[in-house]
Amino acid sequence: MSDTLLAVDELKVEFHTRDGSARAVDGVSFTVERGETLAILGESGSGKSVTAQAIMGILDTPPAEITGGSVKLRGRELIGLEESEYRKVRGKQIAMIFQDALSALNPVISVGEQISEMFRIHEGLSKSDAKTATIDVLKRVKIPGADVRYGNYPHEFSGGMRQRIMIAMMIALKPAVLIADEPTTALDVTVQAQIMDLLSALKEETQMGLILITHDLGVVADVAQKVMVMYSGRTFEQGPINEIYTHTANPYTRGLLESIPKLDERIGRLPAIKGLPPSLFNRPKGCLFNPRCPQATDQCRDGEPDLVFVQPDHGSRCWFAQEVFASDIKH
Amino acid sequence: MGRYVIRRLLQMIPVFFGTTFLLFLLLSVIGNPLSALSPAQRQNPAYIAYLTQQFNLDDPIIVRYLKYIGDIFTGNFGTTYSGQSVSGIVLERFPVTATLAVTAIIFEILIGITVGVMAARRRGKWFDTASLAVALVLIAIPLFVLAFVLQWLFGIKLGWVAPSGISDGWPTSYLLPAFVLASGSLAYVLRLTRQSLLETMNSDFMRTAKAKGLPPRLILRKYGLRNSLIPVVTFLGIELGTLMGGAVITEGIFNIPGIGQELFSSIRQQETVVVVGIGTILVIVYLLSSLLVDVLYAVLDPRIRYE
Amino acid sequence: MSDVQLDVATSIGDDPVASRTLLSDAWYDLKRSKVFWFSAALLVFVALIVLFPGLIADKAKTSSLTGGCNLTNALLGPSSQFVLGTDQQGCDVWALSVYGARPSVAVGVIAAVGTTVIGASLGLIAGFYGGKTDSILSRIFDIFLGVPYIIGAIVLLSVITLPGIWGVTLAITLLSWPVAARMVRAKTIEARGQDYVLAARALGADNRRIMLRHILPNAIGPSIVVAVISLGLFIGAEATLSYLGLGIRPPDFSWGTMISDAQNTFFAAPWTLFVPAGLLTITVLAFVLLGEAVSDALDPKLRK
Repeated sequence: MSDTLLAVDELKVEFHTRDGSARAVDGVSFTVERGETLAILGESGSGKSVTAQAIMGILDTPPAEITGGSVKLRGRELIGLEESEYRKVRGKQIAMIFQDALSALNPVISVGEQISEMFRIHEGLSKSDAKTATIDVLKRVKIPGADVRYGNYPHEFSGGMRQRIMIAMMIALKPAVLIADEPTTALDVTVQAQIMDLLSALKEETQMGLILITHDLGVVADVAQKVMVMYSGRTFEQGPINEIYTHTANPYTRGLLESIPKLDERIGRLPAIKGLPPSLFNRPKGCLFNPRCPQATDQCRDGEPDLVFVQPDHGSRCWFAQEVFASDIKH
Repeated sequence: MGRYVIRRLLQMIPVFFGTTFLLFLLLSVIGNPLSALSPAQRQNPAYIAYLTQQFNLDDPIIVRYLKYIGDIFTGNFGTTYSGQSVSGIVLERFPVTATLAVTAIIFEILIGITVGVMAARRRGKWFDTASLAVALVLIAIPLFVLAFVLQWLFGIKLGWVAPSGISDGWPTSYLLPAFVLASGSLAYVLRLTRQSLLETMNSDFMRTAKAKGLPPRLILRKYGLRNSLIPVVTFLGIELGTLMGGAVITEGIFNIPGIGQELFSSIRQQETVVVVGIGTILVIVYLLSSLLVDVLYAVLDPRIRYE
Repeated sequence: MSDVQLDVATSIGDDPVASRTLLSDAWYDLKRSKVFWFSAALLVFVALIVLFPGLIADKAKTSSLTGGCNLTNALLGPSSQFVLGTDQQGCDVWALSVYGARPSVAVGVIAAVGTTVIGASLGLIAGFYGGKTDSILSRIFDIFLGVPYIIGAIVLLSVITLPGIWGVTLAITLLSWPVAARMVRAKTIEARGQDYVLAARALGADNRRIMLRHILPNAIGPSIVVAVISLGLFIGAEATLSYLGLGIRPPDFSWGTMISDAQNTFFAAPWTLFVPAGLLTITVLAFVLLGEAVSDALDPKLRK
């Protein structure tokens, strides 16, 4: 059996609005293997959440439309799947957790019942069996007093606990792949670390594939093996995370890395990438990053580069990928 | 939950005394029961004496208030010009008004919620715009105007129902008056349901439900309606109390022998004691239903139980 | 890099970065709303007949005292002499309706202004100061709200007599102000916790300044909408109370009294009811529609 749990190939998603059509995701490809953590990095509007939701099949269509590409979960194509079949896959074989657990959970139903739903709907368990299974899952994510707190409501928990509950809900059926969309952004730093540890531990237990979507490079450094950097719907760089952090081959990634303040350096001003990500309706000609890139040349303004592989598993979308790769000093 | 109920009960006590005191102020300080008498009544010293005694007009304010509260607790709301006890009349006529009110609420639920849900699911399409327009018109038309128009249209011109009275029993005789009574609130329920459902549909937890692979009907019921109907149900709870007010006009115009009609004719005949008596009773009923609604709200929405 | 490229990079959305405030956005939406123009047109008409009734109707024809009404003309249908017919006293229905608009609309306007001013002030104070002040004020709101308005108005108007429109206006205002108060209080509490209030405080602004310049503009939006819609509903309330005989009393007249009088003549002469009822409905509807249009313009999220 292949180790590739999820294979996404040239995924394209468009949004049709009154002001025109926007290509939110424009040809994204990646794989996730057993026991592997992939980090998807990017600014707001880069298309990372849309990619995740497209894979889950939970985009509102209209106005969204998956205009191309394939998503194979354990070899099975998900794009074009009948909704009734897709529903059986969601939550059971591929699951997703969201940023704000308070708004993501149903406020008027107890957390225990929300988790039990998974067992009862997908596996047909009886009410009491589901309850037992739910309490087990709550213990797995280390919620103290699980059997008592089964009947509590989401607002009765702290932020970190709520996130654990959401995780519990989504890993209850031991899915093959778990997508975590900014799972720690809304949490305190110490809680962030706990949640990250929890996700890692759960991943190790079941050897599931984990996709971490974030805009925070630091958070994923210890946890992920691979990283994919997205910009304006495109993949700008992808490869092993340590490799990319120390030897990036892309000016955008470098900009991101340089903007992280470091404890052991004194600087006058915090470096930042100037400008803002382009409007999806008004994309620049040539390389999408060229208006903000400090090394942009005419070539960059004329045409968009393809993905260049500076190493067999390390790709970068830049005309000067090799140069950037070679010139990059360790961070 | 039990603590919440007790807390609300305790909070309700000062409001109860406050509201009855407000009524008392309106009656005795700002107003004077003797001021709005008809010419015939003014000529009648026995009646004036009776009013004076009933409202304790000769006593100092404090005593008046105490007697007023005492009257409320003993159920003494005075008697009519012809000697019938007001509380007796209210009890006697209560079933008719209750039937009318309940029928009105059924209309609000059946039409208001159903159309509201349909409009939300067809947002922006013609059905949505049309139902919003109709709702606005229903809200704007004053109750008595609508009553007249529909009474004339269905009772006389088309002759589908008897234009007044309840001789045809339930539901026939009650249909038209109940609809008129419900009209404004029905429209409000429609808009409220629609708005609430739209807001809920946009909530994050709907997306989570979909991500869990739950079947759409379960999502609509447990995630959509269960959340969006909370404000609607609490509104309907208060309705029972407010409908008593609208019933005055409706029962008057359609000649339904309920509490409202009694109030209606008492106003016409300037029977101040009855007007004040029934008015006070209705206010108390309204306060009690508000309390019940608060408890209902806590049952429906666990988030407020610990406020 | 060139300015052109910076423009491309820094423009988000279609428009160049122009100055757009909430009010200018709202006005923009309002201008394009058909409902707004329709209700505005109706209201111009209503304003006309309220402010300049003499232009389109003859006051003399409204009262038998001035000799304008003649019993021989009673209950005539629409004709060239009496555009919309006459009532049972021979008065011109059109003239009556035009002059009857005044008290109805006046009650609505005064009550709406009154409830908004009182309600907004108390709501602002309650929400801003919190603590004991809020507890007491909230209790007071609850007490007033414990009285359903028709019942309260009926009880009040049974025991007082004030001249002209003042009885009705008082009754309506007294029983409706807490609605505005509650809403402003809620908005104030919401605004109070926002960062810009903390910032203003840090800059040394005193309470009064914060309340008036920072919180009030944010709390006032929905209040305006409610005030406009209430205006319409208050006109309806006046008509209802006058219909019951508790509002405007003879020899004054309003749409409500006209409809009340028309009950007896309705079958023989339906115009005696339909004309004032129609005008009343149109006026109330106009205000309600205007309120809707403004509400949508201020918060388009829910409409779209």
